[in-house]
Amino acid sequence: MSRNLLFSVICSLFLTACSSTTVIMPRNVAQMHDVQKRTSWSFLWGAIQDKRFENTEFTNCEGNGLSMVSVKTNAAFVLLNVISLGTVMPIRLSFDCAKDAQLTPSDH
Amino acid sequence: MPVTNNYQWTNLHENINFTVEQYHVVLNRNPNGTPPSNYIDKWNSGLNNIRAVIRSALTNHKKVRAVGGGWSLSDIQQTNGYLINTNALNMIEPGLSAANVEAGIDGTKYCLAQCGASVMEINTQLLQSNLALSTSGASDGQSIVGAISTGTHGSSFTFGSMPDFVEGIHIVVSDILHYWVEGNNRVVSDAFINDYATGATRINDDSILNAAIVSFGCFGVIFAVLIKAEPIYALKRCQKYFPWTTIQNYVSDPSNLGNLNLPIANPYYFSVLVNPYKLDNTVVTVMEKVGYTAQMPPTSNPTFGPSNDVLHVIGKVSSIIPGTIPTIMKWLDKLIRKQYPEYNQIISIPGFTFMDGTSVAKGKALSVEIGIDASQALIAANIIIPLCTTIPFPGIITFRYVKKSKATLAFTKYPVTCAIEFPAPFSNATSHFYSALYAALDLAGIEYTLHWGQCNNLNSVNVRTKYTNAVVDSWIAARQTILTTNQFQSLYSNDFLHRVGLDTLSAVVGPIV
Repeated sequence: MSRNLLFSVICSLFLTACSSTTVIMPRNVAQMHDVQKRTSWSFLWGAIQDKRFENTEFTNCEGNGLSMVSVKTNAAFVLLNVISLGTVMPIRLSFDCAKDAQLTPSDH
Repeated sequence: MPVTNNYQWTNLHENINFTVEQYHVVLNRNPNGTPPSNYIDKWNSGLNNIRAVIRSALTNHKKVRAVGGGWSLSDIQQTNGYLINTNALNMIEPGLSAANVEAGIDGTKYCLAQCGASVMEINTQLLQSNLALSTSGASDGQSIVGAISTGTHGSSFTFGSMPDFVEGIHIVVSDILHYWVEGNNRVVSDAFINDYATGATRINDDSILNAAIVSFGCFGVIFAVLIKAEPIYALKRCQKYFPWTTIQNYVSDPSNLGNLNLPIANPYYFSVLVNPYKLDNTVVTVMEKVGYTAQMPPTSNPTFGPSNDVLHVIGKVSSIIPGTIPTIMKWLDKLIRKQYPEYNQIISIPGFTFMDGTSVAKGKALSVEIGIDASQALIAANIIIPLCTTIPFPGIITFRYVKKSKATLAFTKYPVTCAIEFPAPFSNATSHFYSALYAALDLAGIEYTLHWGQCNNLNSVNVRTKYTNAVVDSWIAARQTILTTNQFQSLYSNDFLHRVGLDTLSAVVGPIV
């Protein structure tokens, strides 16, 4: 029973364990709270790169640019990377657009 | 405007998610996507885009909800129809010109904000006009309308909660019907209406305003709010650890804080944070208003620290082995104290005191907040804290104090409400504790309300018990005044509103506008 419990805990931790790093803009760049999440894939030790995030409509953000970018990996991604000897390398990206900068009536 | 079909929406705390038929990100842009050429046109472009979504919803017989920062933990945002992300509607105008207010009103104290403006953005703009919000929640990432509509509060027992500084709201019901609602006394001029709410019907009625300010998206889409700010001030705050045996003497009456001998002369804010498994060190924070001195925004000192995933892991472990919760919470006490260190005095403006407005996921979490008459706080605490030993609770408990709100359905409805909050990781153990909490308070006959924007067990019966039939009926009557037809009443209803018995349709079907 206790072995099953231990197994459940380890599995649970394994499935939820992640590692992430987030870059956040200063306070004067307000976030849209419309976080986009995508998985980016690299193949053959980075020789084939995922270019779906370069200068696209959803990263342009109405001309305002990004306000937050977060990269995240997890146990499954690491395992896939190890099993494929580094030829398949997924990573989870999250990003949010910046809102319009503030204007006052006199700015026009 | 960007539209996504079959969009799966998740709130910031990741405990609510649902799929909507259409997800609209509404911007202050012309229909062709170009930026409008002047300020008023830009303001009205956002309004017109909201109207266009509502028109489409009415045509296609879909329901409509608007969301802001997504900070609420209850299902008030939920719909299967059209969901409008309002965050890009962030124009803020601190200080109204004399032409925009009625004679005798000092427009410089007012701030007009579109619905998606975050509390952080409003604080920043107010500071440039030497103004400040009278109160705010503990964080500043909520949209202003989301914060107000759920009754967000701080711990200002001499002021009230965020809805109390709202003196006007612009409610959009359809592509044609919209209202500018104020209390009995007019604040803005007709010239203001002509520019910022062209064609809106004016309503000057305390009962309508007070019902609409805490209406969780059910009165229509609130496009803008008029805030009454106050001259910029700073908060001098002191944070100390005290044993619960000492602090329990103050939780029912924050007016006698002087006996704690803290360097705070005129307390304006008082909160107590309790780890129910480490009662020898509760965290007491007291603040007072002091004169403003120019300050730079604080910057963090980046280093290594626990990630949001820690919350997730604790939630998982506590679900599987609830018996470990007291041990986990004792381990976490050092982390709590690192997060809430002791200090004698820090002085900063409100906008730099109540921060953390990022949309980075906070980790899967749950939270319940009850409101009770402050005089009953110790009685409640003596039920709640022992309950944590029989039903393990993997979270902390905070006590904050709020003066009675003017909002009809404010959960801070007592002369001074003690708001007791129970934030915790998303876990079966957390849910079990909440169920036991409601049962224990009900069994003890303690009267309490529940924060609309947090997890709750509200239903059509207990809402009437908590607020009385007269109050509930007056809120429904106000809603029916704004939403004149059954079609409109249904447009802005959802499962939450039905569950709490506030979606009553008016008896007479009005003309379709």
